[in-house]
Amino acid sequence: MAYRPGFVLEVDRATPPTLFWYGEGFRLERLPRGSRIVYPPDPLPALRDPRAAIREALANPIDSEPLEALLFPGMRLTIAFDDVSLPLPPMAAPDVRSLVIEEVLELAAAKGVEDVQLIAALALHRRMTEAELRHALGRRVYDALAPRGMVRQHDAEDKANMVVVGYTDEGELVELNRRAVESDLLVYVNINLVSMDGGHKSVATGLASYDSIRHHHNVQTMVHSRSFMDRHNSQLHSSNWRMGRLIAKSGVKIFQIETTLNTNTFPQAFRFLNRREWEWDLRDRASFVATAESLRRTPPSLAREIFHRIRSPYGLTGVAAGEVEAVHERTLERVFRQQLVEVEGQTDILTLGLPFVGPYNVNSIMNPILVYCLGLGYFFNMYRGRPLVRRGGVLIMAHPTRPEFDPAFHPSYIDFYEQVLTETTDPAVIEAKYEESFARDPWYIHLYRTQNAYHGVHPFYMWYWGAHALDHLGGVIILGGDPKAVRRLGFYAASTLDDALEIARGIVGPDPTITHLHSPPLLMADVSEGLA
Amino acid sequence: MTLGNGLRFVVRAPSRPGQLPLERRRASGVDFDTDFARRDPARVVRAMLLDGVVLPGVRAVTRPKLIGGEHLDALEEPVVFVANHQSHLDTPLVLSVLPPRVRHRTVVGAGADYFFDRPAKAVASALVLGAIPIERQRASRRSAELAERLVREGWNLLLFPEGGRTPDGLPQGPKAGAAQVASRTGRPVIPLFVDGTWEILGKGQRRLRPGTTTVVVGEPLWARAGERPGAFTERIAASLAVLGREAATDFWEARRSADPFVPASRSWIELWRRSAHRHEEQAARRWPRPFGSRANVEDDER
Repeated sequence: MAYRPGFVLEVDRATPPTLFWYGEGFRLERLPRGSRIVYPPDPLPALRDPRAAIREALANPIDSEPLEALLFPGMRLTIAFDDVSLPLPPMAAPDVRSLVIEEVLELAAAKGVEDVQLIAALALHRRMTEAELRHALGRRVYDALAPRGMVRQHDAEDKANMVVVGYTDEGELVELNRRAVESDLLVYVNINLVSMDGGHKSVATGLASYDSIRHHHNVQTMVHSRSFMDRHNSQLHSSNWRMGRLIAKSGVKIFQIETTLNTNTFPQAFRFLNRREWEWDLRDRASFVATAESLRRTPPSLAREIFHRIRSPYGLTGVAAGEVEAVHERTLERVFRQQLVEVEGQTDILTLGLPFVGPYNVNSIMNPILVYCLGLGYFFNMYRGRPLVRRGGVLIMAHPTRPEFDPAFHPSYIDFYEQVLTETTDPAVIEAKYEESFARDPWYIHLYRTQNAYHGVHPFYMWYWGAHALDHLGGVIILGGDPKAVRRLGFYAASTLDDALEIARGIVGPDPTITHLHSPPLLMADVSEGLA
Repeated sequence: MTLGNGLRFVVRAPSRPGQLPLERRRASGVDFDTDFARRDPARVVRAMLLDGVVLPGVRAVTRPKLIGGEHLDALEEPVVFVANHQSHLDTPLVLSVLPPRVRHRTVVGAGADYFFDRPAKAVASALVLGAIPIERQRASRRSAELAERLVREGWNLLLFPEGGRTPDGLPQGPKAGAAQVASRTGRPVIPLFVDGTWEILGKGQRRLRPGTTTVVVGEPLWARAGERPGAFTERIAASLAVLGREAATDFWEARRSADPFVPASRSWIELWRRSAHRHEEQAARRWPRPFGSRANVEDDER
């Protein structure tokens, strides 16, 4: 099949019902005539020989000497890599990180570099489990290095192993992992699933401390990141770029390796998810009905187990290595080529379906706060130019939003939900009143450092992530959501799409324009001013 | 009080004071008597357990490939098998590639401090694997005499001269005990190189990760007249080094290069080089397989 770009479909009488993600399930919804559906481009063709492409990138980097020339015996080499939050769902083995790291280690071994350390750049995320590390690094790397203690996970609360690099012109503290800073070379291995990832954010956030990250992970910055998927209009990224330039100026030598994936997200068993509804053949229709109906009859915990076992057959579309900024520009081009769809004009009501997984609930439960973050943080921000929905418009997102939490991975989320959201949902108030006490709580810090828990401050960041959307929107409706949990988030719950649209009409007026962001796979809307 | 303890308390009459010696003494460690495990009833039980349960399981987990099996067909028993040691799986894996006739007449030297520290463990080791206690912290006359006596009685002996599983995946310096037993009894040493068990269940690894393994069998080595055990051990190590290279490459390549059995440095680079062949593209597992692990067909069509 030839590659096809994304496009905007106008719903007419013949348009088949549209697929909505609905957590660990699906919904087929008929959108009103005249609504628009934004369809993503087809997956780009994958590179036939990823290893050869990686070797080529390491040998001919952008604005840097070849990696081989940067390695010498007796040096300290640190290889940092993206954590379990990328890609989504996890990639079918071999994970692209393992391919890149193997090639880097081949060169290091050939050069006789003895002092090598791998660090999972997890910032304030949870520590990865052994199985997750094995999957990300591959068996060869893990078996050779982990028993020798050469695979570590970044610990933002280990003050002895953090070092202050300096302050940016705007007074932002840059405090990073000591090993990374004091190495002769820091190689960063990234996966760029969406345009937010990568660039200076990799090191400046991934290997930083809470005191450093708080300078850009706050309400003020997030409200002015329009969007944080568009690096040139994102304060989040401006701050990270200032930090990155300071890091480079202070003498930390970084060799950035960024990889991009296509959107071939689901395996053959879920082939219908990769296709447009009117192209579903008999097999797709049958497997959709069988899947959707059996999932509806399956207990949610079992359905979750099944979905979290999905391994995506992502293909590598490109790899670039060398100087951070130059590499990232090349990466962004590739990401946009895969994900960007031109859309004319904003809409009154934006609809979307939320999947079972977001960056922070890999192998875990999507709790209401993560539902909020995935919808208002990630999907709402998948735009360039202007938001898909107009100021004061309504966002309708489909998700069951059960008030369920994973106590091992998300302990502070439970308290955030019970103690903070019962008081207020205003990000600015939440930040001023509660952030400090959660961030410095010794029990959360203990769980973050020794178990697999997200840092105590993480649910706050989830809330700030949606601050721009909260500021912009006139209302949010969760289609099919648990009414009590939805109200706790400060939104409206609706059981059918018609009900949701009716509630939305009450906010935006009687004859609204409706646009649906079709997912999967991921797409990013390039929204022009339009006629409206 | 658990149910079992409670029942035992009710059923068993209390012992009268003064009946038992002051110290509770149980033979364990190197003093544990394993004779019972070489009597016919125990051998029948062991044969059934090994052939019916243990070895099929180990074969499924390790999928061994045997190189040099012809040396096993032409054995002049009894012999002393000498192997490198990476994992607890090494013993059953070696037993699984031995011809049944040989396997059922083989005893295994096992660390007295680890396998014979508690009576239940000692009985199980002796019964299931035919283990005998070997003192590995210091030279022990008792374990040396036991090993020699058994070889003289016609038992094959499997020893791991490194004295324990490797902590880092790389071979450790061999001790001279095996060479001494072979030269004092005048029996040949059969070197065996076990490759791949480090990845499946290395020291410190908590979960079993099925994979493939290779067992390479070398030619019999005889002690030369007047050769000291140390010198003989060096020859055994040299032979193991060739077999190790053969597991990684092929017969010819193995004899052309000169990597020693024990690497000069214990750096990660050495393990990285030596383990490369174990990670070449392997056939995908048929079942169970996570969704999506099959390569996407449509990708190639584009």
